[in-house]
Amino acid sequence: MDYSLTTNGLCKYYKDFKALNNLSMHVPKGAIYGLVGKNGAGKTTLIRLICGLQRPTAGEFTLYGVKSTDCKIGKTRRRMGAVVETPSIYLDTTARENIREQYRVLGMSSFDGVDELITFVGLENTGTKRVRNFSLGMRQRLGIAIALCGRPDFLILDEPVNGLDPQGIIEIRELILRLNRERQITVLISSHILDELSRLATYYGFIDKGSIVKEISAAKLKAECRKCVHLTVNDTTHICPVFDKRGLDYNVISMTEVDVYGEIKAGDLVHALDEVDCETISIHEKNESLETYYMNLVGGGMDA
Amino acid sequence: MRNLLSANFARLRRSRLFWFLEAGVFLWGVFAYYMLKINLRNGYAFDNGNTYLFNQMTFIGITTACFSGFFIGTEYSDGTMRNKLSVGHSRIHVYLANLITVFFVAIAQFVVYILASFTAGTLLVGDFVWSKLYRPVETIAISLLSLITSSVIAVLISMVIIEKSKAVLLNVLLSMLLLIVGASALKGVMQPEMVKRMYFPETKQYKYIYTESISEILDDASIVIEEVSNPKYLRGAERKLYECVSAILPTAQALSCGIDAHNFIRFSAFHVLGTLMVGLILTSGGILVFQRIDLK
Repeated sequence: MDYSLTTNGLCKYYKDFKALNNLSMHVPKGAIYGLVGKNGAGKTTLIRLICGLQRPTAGEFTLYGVKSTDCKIGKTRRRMGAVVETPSIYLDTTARENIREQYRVLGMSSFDGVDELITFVGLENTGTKRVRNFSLGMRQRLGIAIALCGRPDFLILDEPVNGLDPQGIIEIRELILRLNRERQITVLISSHILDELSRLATYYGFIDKGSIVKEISAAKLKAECRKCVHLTVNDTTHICPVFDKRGLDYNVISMTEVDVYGEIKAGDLVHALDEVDCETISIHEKNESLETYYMNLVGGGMDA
Repeated sequence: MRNLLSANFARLRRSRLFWFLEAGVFLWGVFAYYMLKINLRNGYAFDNGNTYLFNQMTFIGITTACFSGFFIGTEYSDGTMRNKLSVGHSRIHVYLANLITVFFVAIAQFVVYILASFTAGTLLVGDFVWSKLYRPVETIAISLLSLITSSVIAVLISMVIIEKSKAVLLNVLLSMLLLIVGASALKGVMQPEMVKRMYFPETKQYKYIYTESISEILDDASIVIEEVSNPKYLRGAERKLYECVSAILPTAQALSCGIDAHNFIRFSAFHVLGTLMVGLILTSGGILVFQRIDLK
């Protein structure tokens, strides 16, 4: 698999506090990578290191095949756009002038595409309105527009929907999906709002105490989280044909436990199992969401 | 770095503070010669043109420090410094681009003031004011050195202190402090070697005269006036130190331009080398600190 970003044993210490502790992650090309973790888990620190705002204490990362220790990393960062925490915009000027300023920073030969970019993020009607008077959602969209100025292949968004109203959240979500689908931009997005993230991400990285505890694709996560019935029986030896006959997915966990996926009628199933001398002791419905999956992964006491 | 400079100058064109400062020095230049015109009408003995043409140098040092705090501080407060670094610009280039921009602002103020003064002086007072200038080329050279060091110090503070208000405050306070130190150093260097001393026979007391205005008391026949060695005249290592500080401290350089300091402080290679060395040391130190700052 091709990766836009990989990190290897990345560490960042602030005096005695370990913000990142041997963090290793892999962001596949073309993915929307959801970085999930509670406050202080190290999400923003990781993003700051990748953006060159801070230097790692140890370890390294590789961006499009170029190591962070390589002198070419600066040039490679041109392929990247980022919104770290709050949007980085001059408040005393207009949206258009902010974008033109970033064009100058990037050394773009002309201002072609400024209007297109403003329209793309839905700020075409802001005219001479100063950014200071923008809503949080508008600022967030302008921040994304500035991150897009250099036509990046890789976009990093740190908590992009934090503090937005429902309309703003929907707008940002649609924007990210369009960027990924229409421009094939790889997106690394950190968020507290797991439900929102589950609507976007095609890949997840769960971060806790400065380390990635699990990386998993959305498809695999969905499979692990899908609705299932947990059966406890006296003996699972002869039950497989019962499920096969009904076309049900199942997972025999032990000699007495089995998970059955999909919609089932409990009465029929108990009767069918009875016919093969399998006594049903208990039935529990399991319906794991991203939230409960995360909780099980990192334990309680989270505020993600 | 060219891209960073292009972005900085585009910001400068839109900066109200920049245009406010330019307008301020322009008006000051006109006002200074308007006041000279009034003073001449009232019998003012005009013998030193430098006092009018170069007396704004200390002011420009302070306004440049303020401007630097606001201009660079905005990049931290609005977070736009991140936009430069995250697209791959090196911290050294960001630092140097800001230094060049701030130095340009200092030079622009100086040029506008000189032009405004020259125009106003010629039109309001007359050409003769320019004949009263002492070593104008040397003074302009010292002025430029003063602006270089002022800009270097202002940018150093603005780049390593990431809170805008703190950076502005510290820039102003340091400018004031350097002004006091510079004035003290200059005062020490400019002490004449010999001074007149008055002896009052009635009270048996001595009094040193550091100014020329003794005509009023000369009528008193009982007072004995004699020329003696100035006890405040600096000698040896102490004098070298004061001369060194006067030559490289931007505030002392700026003050020396506007006063009759030419007999004591002459433009020399030491001025240039000292200023460049201070600039190099402070800028290298600033870049080193800036490289280590964890930005948010």
